Amino acid sequence: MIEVHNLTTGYGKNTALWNIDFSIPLPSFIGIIGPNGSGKSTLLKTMLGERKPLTGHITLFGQPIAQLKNRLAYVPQLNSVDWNFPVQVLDVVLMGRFKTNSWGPFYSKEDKEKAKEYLNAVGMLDFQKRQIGELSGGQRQRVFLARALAREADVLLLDEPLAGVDAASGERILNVLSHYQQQGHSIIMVHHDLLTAASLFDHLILLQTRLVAAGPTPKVFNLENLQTAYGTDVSILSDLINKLGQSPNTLTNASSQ
Amino acid sequence: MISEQAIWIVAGCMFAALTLSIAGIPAYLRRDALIGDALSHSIFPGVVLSVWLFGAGNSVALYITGTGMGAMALLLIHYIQQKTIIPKDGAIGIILIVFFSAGLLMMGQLQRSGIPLWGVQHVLLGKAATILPSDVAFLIGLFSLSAALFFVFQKWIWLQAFDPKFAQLSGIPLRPYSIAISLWTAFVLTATVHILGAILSAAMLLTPSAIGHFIRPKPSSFIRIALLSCLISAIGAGFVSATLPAMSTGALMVIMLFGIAAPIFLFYPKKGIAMKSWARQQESNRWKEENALKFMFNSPSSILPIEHHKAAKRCSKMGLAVEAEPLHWNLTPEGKTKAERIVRKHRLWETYLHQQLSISKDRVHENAEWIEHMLDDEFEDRIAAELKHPKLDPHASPIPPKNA
Repeated sequence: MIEVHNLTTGYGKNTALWNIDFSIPLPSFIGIIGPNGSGKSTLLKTMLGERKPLTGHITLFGQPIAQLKNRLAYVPQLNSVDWNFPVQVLDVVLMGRFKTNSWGPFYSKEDKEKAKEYLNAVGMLDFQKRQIGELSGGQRQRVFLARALAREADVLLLDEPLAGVDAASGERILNVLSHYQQQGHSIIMVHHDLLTAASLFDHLILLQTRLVAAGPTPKVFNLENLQTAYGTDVSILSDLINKLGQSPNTLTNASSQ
Repeated sequence: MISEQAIWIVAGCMFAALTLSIAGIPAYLRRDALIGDALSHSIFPGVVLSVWLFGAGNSVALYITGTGMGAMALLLIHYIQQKTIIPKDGAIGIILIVFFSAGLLMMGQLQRSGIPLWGVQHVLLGKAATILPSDVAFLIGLFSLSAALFFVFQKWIWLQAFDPKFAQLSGIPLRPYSIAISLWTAFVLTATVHILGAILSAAMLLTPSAIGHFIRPKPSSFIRIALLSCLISAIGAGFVSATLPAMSTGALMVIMLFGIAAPIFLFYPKKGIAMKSWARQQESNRWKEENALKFMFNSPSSILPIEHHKAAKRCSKMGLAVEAEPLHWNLTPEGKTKAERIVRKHRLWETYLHQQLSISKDRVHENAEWIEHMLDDEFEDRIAAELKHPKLDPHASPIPPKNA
């Protein structure tokens, strides 16, 4: 269970979030959706402990989230690191195995095996000796995903992992994520593509600075909620909802979960 | 003969420089290079203060006041950054100059009051000639400690510098880690100050890392090359200092390091700035030569247009073409083979564009003018095979066979 109580945050460069309050059972595949500037990334950063709330708090499995950092893994946006950094692909994935309580200058044999295993899972094992700057955007994102998987955490947080990623990499990433979820882990993912949101996630958090709705996808993903969140884009949204309603693969699929 | 003192001087320079280079790696990786400059300037008043209050020979007092001043400068930089809109580099620039000026004023006061000035003038520019065996022993200890710390914490250093947020999530506390690294840098700068000088030692923090990064973007070789380049310049500077004691050791070392860095940045194979521009020139020449050969092949009895003259002369040196009479050029058998290959690539590509990509006949030529220079043997064969070895291009011109 992830519970967000009365959360208000967002100052400085971050968009605001007002009085967010919801709880979602875990394990789940949770999508954070909403228009630009609605506070999606702010919510994710607050969950990671990177932003401090002004009021309220977040608990995970009944404990304050700050105490559970080793049960979280995350995939940042691609532009958050320097890609000329002197490090090879395998080194990046090994960073996912870092633990402050395991002393010693080198990663263990087991760590290396795990790192290779996850690198293989995202289809990047052949690139393990490459300098990270040599990779394409989609390949970089897959390496980041492998690093997050290598933490073997309970909850994986991702900030728009499909942004700026080629179609093949995007598909690979989604495959790995659904496999990860099937193993009983949870995923919380900021997502901007409404077309795929309903079919991808079993739970949704719909934001518009405040919380519009949160819960199982069929309950959240309806015209009324989307109208509230996206305001003036109503005509597009109603057309979209119609389209999604006709597709056998979206709403019905999500509601069966 | 090399005197005993010269050996001490060289050894002192080596271990001082190595210690600084190792301390500089985390800062370089964190893109926090200016902090080194800020620290080297701000420990200066600390060093003067120590001589003023505790006399010249008191090393412990020196380390405390030097590191303390460095820490104070860092705190002020951080404070300005937090409380004002002045960005970090602005804050560093201001604090660096303020501390340095304070140091200069204190030094002036010291000189007027007649307190013996051991070291203070060397503190600015460094002078290894006065080094004692005990100093060398201390520097070896300092180096060993630096190397051991770096070795043990290498995972931390790389993770934190690459992705601070991920490091935080993995349990590395950001603020204490930054403070620890900065304090260690301040301490190392203070401890090596009488050899390299306050201002110049900052260069030894960063330049070796920059050289290592430039040559080898992989972690282990990055470190090796950084330390090697630093070692060479330290040994060189040490020997010059021993023979010419009036020279500033710090300045010598910086210039020698730059003497290593500059040719590398310019001439390192494939990466050097000059090498890259030379490779571009070679490539451009090859295109022009290929175009000249192609012209001679396609229009054997015509006058060679002016734009091909230079390239034709290079071709004649390579034995590919001869100027039979003024402005009339003939291909040698070798040149003919080469020209046929280029024409073959050109026409193959035109055929490929027309047949496989349905691009109309009149629009394939320009693209082929470019691609003909780019196709290697492997692509040439693949395209030919895919097109089932055509005899004619879309304009019905014959495609020369490969082994003509």
